[in-house]
Amino acid sequence: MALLQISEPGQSSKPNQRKLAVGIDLGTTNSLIAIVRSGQADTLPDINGNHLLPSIVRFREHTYPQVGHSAKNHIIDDAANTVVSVKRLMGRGVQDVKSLSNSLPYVFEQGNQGMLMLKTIAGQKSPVQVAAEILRTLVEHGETSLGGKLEGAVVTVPAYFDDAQRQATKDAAKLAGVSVLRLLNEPTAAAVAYGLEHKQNATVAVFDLGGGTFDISVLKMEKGVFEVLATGGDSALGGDDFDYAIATWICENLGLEAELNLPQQRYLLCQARMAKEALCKTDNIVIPLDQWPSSNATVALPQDQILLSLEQMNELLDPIIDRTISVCKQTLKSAAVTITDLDQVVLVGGSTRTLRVRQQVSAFFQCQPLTSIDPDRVVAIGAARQADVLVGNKNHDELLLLDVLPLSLGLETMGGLVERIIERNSPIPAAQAQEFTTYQNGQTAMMIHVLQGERELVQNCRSLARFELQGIPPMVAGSAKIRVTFQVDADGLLSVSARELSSNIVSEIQVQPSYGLTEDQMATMLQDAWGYAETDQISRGLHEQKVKAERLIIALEKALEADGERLLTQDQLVKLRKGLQTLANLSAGKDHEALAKGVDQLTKASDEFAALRMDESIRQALAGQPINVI
Amino acid sequence: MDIKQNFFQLYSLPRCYAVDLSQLQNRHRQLQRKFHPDRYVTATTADQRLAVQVTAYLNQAFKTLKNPVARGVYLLELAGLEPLAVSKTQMPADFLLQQISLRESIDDLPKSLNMDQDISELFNRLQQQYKAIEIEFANTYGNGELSKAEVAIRKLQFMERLEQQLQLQAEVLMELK
Repeated sequence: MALLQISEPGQSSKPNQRKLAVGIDLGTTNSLIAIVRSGQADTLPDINGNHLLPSIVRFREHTYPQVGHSAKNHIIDDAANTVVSVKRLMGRGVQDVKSLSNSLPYVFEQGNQGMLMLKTIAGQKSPVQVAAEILRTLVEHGETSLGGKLEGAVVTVPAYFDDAQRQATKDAAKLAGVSVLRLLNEPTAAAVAYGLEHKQNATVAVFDLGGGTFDISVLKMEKGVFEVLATGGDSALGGDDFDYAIATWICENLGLEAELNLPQQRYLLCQARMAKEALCKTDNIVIPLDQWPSSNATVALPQDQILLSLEQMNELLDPIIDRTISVCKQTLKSAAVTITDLDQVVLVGGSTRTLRVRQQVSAFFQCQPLTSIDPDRVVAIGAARQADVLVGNKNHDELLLLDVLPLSLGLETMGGLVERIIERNSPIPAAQAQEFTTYQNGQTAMMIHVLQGERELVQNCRSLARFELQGIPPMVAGSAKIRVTFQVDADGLLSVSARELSSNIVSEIQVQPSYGLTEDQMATMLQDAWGYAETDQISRGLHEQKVKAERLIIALEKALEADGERLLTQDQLVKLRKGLQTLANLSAGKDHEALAKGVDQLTKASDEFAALRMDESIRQALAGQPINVI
Repeated sequence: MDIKQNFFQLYSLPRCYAVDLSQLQNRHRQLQRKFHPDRYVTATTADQRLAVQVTAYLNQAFKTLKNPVARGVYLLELAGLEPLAVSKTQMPADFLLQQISLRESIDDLPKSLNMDQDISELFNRLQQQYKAIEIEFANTYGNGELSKAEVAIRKLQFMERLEQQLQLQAEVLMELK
């Protein structure tokens, strides 16, 4: 039984009917959207011809926010309401930000349940909401450019993003009305862009240094199969840190000891960035400081410019770059690949334009790294390539991406220790079960604390979520057998289930995401989002549900036709056919919540049938296997 | 979903210790191409979930069969045993003495006058031992002497750990040079 060809409602399954599926690079500094057309992958510009959208959002009172270049103009004069580098805040809690807050000029507030919120004139905003604004704008540009509605997008994330950061990215996409086909790791996306262009078999290292994140991935590319061997990084290290180091140096050299206000911090960071970029082309730069934002009671500058040499800057950047090289060493080891084994090194991310970075990378890897595809655009281009295949425009056999989990997943055990359940660099999807038991007589509940990281102690790892498994039948301590199963999907997202084995009771699980949005918060935000662009958002939400419903109806009808009589009893068959009718009726209506519920219900009802078909698919895949190699 | 095939059945490989690794690799790739979630992006939610489950199972299977220790343990588990159970700590005395001596050799490496040679000799010794124990396992398992096979696989696990320790020590010493 072959994979069912599912076409969109209203569209024929003509092979030349392409679906508009894009790649989106949601970067720290710049964001991009790209698509494959006539075999070419290209980024899409806005109406002014800009391919890069600055990841900057400026909130205003009583009106919609500005995103991109228009927002960028207000980084200094409206610092408090203009959010930059929001990617650094995704999936982070208030505690994380405390240690970073010097280099992040914002006004933070604590929302409900320790959630990180930004204070703006338009109210409290979570980083997820800010990111959603950027995505919304990108989609607008894309749809205008392409003249049609987008089917879905492959959205990239740093390979080193943990579960909380990934979930936050997905949440942002949901808020923006973007259907995420896949979360793709940025270095993998870059490898795809290069690999498909050069069509060689190779072992490659991708060095990706962006505005706020660093990734190093080691991959094997062979005939359209991209296999990640190991990945490493630092999701809090990037070009922004270069700017901060330079800005700090400026302060020290000007003898500025007093605490600077927000616009002043922003100003220095902007000037630092300009200097950093200028020193790519010259050995010395005079940094102008004459536009220093001052008000009544603020610090005055002793001079209105300062000289920075390339040599001095390199001294400032070296300790930061050294950290990236250490991670490279470690990752090569994890991949069991030596420098001589590597065929190519690819540079990705705007920060790799800094000369010192290129020098250090060349020196460490003992080769000239590849930069033939624009390091700012290569990720979006690779993502567009994958989107093209996932959505069915291109043959699936042309591309197979095998990625890995970047950080180990574990559980808290007695004494504040972490027991690792799935190791980092495990190929994903991955699943692992572990058995635990009760430690007190008559214990009926168990708190399961899920963590991510490589350290031994709970306090040094990232807390992902807490579950309470209830309804354990009271027994003597140590006799209950609780199987906790971890499963990581192809997006790198974790789901956990727990079951008490001796009584075979599947017990209740209540998830409290440590840094994520709860269902309620999400619902509220969706409501708010629809507030100022109401009809458009509601119709988009309804459209999405209708697509889901009709996809399910078509697929299920076909499946029942092909295998219903064979695999199901008459009762089961009748029940499913009834379910289909119910959903079809809902789909004709306008109540998108009822429709969403209907889709869920029919999905659950057809679960068993799907499992039977999948089982048969496996048996058919194994039957008649030739003994020799393909 | 409850996948009924065991790891060997999944790859159409005979249920024994000897495994053709290139066949394993090729079959694994074939199955990945068919069941990877990327193939199911436009399918129903149920099918998507199943694709994740099946692929996760495949990855577990591959990891287990590829590693000699994990493979041996799995074979014994299929036969209803628990070779690595915490309660089973009995090891032959001569083997333990040998382990202690080998560990001492690893610890003594920093004092070595001819480090490169000593490291490579030690690696060779460990690899020879490892191969001998693999043969011991294959034979005892093949003859149905399962409790002897259990001892063999635990010995193999000790050897694997020793090799990892030697690897780490060698890296540290290389860095210091």
